[in-house]
Amino acid sequence: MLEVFIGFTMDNPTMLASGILGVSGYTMRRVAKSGAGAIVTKSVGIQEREGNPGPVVLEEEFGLINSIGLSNPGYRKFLDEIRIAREGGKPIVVSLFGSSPEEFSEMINYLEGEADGFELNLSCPHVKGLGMEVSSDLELSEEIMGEARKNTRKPIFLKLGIKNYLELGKIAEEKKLDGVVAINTLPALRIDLEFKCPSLGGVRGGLSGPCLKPVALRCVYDLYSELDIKVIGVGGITSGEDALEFIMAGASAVQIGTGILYKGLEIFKEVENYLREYLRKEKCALEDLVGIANVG
Amino acid sequence: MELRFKCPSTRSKVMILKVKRENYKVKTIFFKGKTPNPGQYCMIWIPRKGEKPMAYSYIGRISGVSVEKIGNFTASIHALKPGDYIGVRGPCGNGFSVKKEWSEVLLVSGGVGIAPLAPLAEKLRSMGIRVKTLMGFKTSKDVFFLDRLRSKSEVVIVTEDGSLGIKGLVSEALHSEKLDQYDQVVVCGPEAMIVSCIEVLENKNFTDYQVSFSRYMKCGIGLCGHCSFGEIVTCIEGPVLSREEIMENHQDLGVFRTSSGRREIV
Ligand SMILES: Cc1cc2nc3c(=O)[nH]c(=O)nc-3n(C[C@H](O)[C@H](O)[C@H](O)COP(=O)(O)OP(=O)(O)OC[C@H]3O[C@@H](n4cnc5c(N)ncnc54)[C@H](O)[C@@H]3O)c2cc1C
Ligand SMILES: Cc1cc2nc3c(=O)[nH]c(=O)nc-3n(C[C@H](O)[C@H](O)[C@H](O)COP(=O)(O)O)c2cc1C
Ligand code: FES
Repeated sequence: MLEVFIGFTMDNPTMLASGILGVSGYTMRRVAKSGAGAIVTKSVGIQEREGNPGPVVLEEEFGLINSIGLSNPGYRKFLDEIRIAREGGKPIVVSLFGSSPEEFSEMINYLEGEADGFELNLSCPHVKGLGMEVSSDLELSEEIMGEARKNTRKPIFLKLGIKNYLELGKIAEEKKLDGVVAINTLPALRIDLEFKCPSLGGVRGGLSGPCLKPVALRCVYDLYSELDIKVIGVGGITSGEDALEFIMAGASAVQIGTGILYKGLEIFKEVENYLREYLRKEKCALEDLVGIANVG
Repeated sequence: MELRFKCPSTRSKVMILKVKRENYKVKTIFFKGKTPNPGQYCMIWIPRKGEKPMAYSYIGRISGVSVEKIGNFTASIHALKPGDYIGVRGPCGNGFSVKKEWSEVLLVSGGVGIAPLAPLAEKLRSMGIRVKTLMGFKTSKDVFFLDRLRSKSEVVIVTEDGSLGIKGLVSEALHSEKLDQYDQVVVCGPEAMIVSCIEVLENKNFTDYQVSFSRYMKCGIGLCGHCSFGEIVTCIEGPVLSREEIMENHQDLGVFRTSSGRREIV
């Protein structure tokens, strides 16, 4: 009843968001077994990266700021993790970051056999020269999407940030990507008054969690009304109601990251059960609800 | 929103009250904070240097962590003086599990792994539980907390070069122990030492043990996934794991994840 098709089939519309428990194949396998419909891995790049010094996270009443800094072992070393994650029996979407079309095609070619899809992270807000700085360049983003599409027939999703999200979404559709994911964390920073210094070791961070929800909803809403490809909603989902809100705004599936901090891995089952019960009560199918509240 | 686990979510600024040199490369810093249980850890933040996990080695109204200098951050801790301020987030993690019906417990440490075991020995003694400790170090120069442990337990000291106590590895000393008399064996040390101790325990069919792991931790709140041991997120579900948890995730034994997330076999 909750099955959705976004280029592959998921048994329910929840996905693990990139960067959360996505370093190790075993933890991804656990999230899969906990009920997520699909898993998005930590973003990996061409080269190994250590990431930023700590503190890498700062919890706030309204959400979380992180500056992990795209630490990853490099895409080659990541193949083993993907293989282990697959044992969870759910589709595995590999998140990639990079700075040129060639880098993306190299990674896609190497990982294609083990991945069920790819998410292009052109939107990390706190790493110099990567992520958001790539998506500020629409031409480069277009080349990356075109090159990625040439290299695989598996589903490709574009992970968007707040910057240029509509323009980039349209390019994603033109380049025949399968969908867009909105949104990544927002640029953020805090100062520690007692120590008179930035609160995060990496100085600049990204904001996620409950405070992100209205912003993400707006993006999802706009994207759904402008595009024909799938929209996947992410940002501040901590309950079934939150997920439903994204679906009514136009999301075919939702991703959950920071919500795990408040609810644990049970959040995937909680959202799934809520949606199942809602569909039963309303006597409708999930696809009837996608974008139902979207009046353009 | 409320966090699901009991780790405090904010860092508090605390003053270093005292610095104690334990040996040529280990120093203990003392500060005030919430009283932890043995086996819990805290994230120590030195502004502009970083934030890293350290197990509590002294527990009480004034807590302490004993730090081995092995790199940049630990060197920054060693440079701290009484009166300096640091950020502390803790107590974090589960700590050792202790049962009052136990009558005798064996502690096994490798190197700085003795740090969280010392307050555990003190707690066990205060509950009237007998304690024996096998302390392993590379060489006599590395030894610390010997008198502290001796005052609470029977101690067997093992050094790899034989410069103090028995020559060899602490896992070999564990092998020579008759284990039937112990209600529980508690292991803490580097991953390679953990692996050999578990091998010894399993070969002897001894299953009542727990191990404190030190995986690479970044966020300390169960999100980044760096600290995982198999499917277990050790920063919030550990760092102390039961035999059952270890066996269910044994494929990850002896595998260490670096700060990039790359696996290294130890
Ligand atoms: C729960 C827990 C409790 C710990 N308790 C103690 C303790 O009581 N006393 C003590 O001396 N050390 C303890 N450590 C290890 C301590 O965190 C590292 O020695 C320290 O972070 C090294 O930092 P560095 O910059 O000096 O060294 P680096 O040069 O950065 O690293 C040297 C080695 O230290 C380890 N390490 C580095 N960063 C981390 C990290 N963020 N998490 C885990 N390991 C790391 C790695 O093995 C690395 O190879 C504990 C680790 C954990 C996870
Ligand atoms: C600790 C942490 C690490 C993240 N790492 C990545 C990443 O590597 N790649 C990426 O595309 N998004 C990353 N994100 C962003 C999330 O995937 C997600 O877009 C964002 O957190 C909003 O969703 P949430 O409020 O449910 O967390 C990260 C978020 C957090 C909190
Ligand atoms: S250190 Fe980030 S999940 Fe444990």
